[in-house]
Amino acid sequence: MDFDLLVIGGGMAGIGAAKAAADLGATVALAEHEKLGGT
Amino acid sequence: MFSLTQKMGEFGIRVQTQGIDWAMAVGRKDRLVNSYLAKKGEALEERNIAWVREPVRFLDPHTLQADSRRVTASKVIVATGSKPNRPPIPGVEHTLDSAEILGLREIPRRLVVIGGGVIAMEFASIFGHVGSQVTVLEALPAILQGTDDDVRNAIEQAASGWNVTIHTGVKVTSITRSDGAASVTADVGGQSRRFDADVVLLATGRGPRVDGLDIDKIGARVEKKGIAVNEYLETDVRDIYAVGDVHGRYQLSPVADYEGKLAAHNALRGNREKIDYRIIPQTIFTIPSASSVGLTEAEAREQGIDYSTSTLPFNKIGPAVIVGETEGFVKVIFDKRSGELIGGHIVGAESEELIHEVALAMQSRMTRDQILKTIPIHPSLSEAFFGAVTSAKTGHEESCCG
Repeated sequence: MDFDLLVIGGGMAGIGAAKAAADLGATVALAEHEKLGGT
Repeated sequence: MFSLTQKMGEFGIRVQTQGIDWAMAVGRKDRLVNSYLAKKGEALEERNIAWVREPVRFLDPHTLQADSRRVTASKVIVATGSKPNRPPIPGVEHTLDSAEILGLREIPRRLVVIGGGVIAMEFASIFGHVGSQVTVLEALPAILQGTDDDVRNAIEQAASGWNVTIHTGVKVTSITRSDGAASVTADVGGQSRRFDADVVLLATGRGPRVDGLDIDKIGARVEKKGIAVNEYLETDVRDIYAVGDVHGRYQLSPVADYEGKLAAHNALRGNREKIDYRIIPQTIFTIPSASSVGLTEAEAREQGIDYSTSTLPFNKIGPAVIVGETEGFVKVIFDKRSGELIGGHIVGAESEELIHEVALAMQSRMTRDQILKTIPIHPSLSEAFFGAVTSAKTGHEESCCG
């Protein structure tokens, strides 16, 4: 596997998840083809 | 800010405004949003999170196809958010959604809002206060479904002071646009009526954004409100979680953040923590604002709880009178058996701040007497909650601090 966790979406929920996972020491990717930050 | 300038005369402060430069206000908003968004990218870089800047779709639960590559992962969290619902009304393309209306460069003279939920009423309040003539068209029998009846009544009453007319039980049948003006045709109480507008806002709720994701093809259930998840925020497919607006339980960004963190822990450490939605304060950002946490009175009644309520109007709260904020009230609901605070509703100045007192008291399952062991600052608006709780005890409408 390329990553422990893939998060799809870079709004509040996705960024919260990706940061928390990275803080636990996981390898993380976040897929977002538009702007980060959500609506 | 603009509303404040209009109240200054009461305090002997003579203010002359030259109106509102809406384009400048929108420009400031854009600068703030852009600076906030820039920081999000930095947060990812600091943690070495790989940013895949391409749309992805599921090939199987652990393999996703992006434009240029495949990505595999042991666990996946879906956080693709929501998008505005577009009901099949002929002419719906002549409407703006809540993001688009924020980009307007001038204030519309006449605004028609389709929908009567939180977003609809917030925009009705904004544009009504800056001079638009606003008409709200709600399909259901009442606006602000799920809101405490006293809160709804207070906002309905306040709305008449903001140039806002509310029609309920309305079925919008078509929207047309010609010569720069729109016209909304609707069935109101069995009669066809026409509402002319410069701008039509469509605020009929939001649904999950799952287009092109192919999450249904790997076995997850996508319902009308969103992707179905269990109490650990895991979908029907093992190792695949869904958080935030995409499952549609609460469309609030702090809840989305909480869910994202909880799902990350459950995904990486095993499903240990269940989601807990007991204490979620919510605000309707109208002027005055309305904030709630816990049960509404109707919910307490429906759940068969033996409850009592106490309501203290802002005009009985000294500090509110001092700052000229006499509109609104604090309402608290107690479970008579356990004595616990089970709901709080505040309409009035800074309700979005004051509601946190209620939320913390509820989180700690405090009773009336336990709450009153805390002595508040006087004069402060925060007294209002203590006043309402004091009134619950004495049965008299009174401020807590003399």
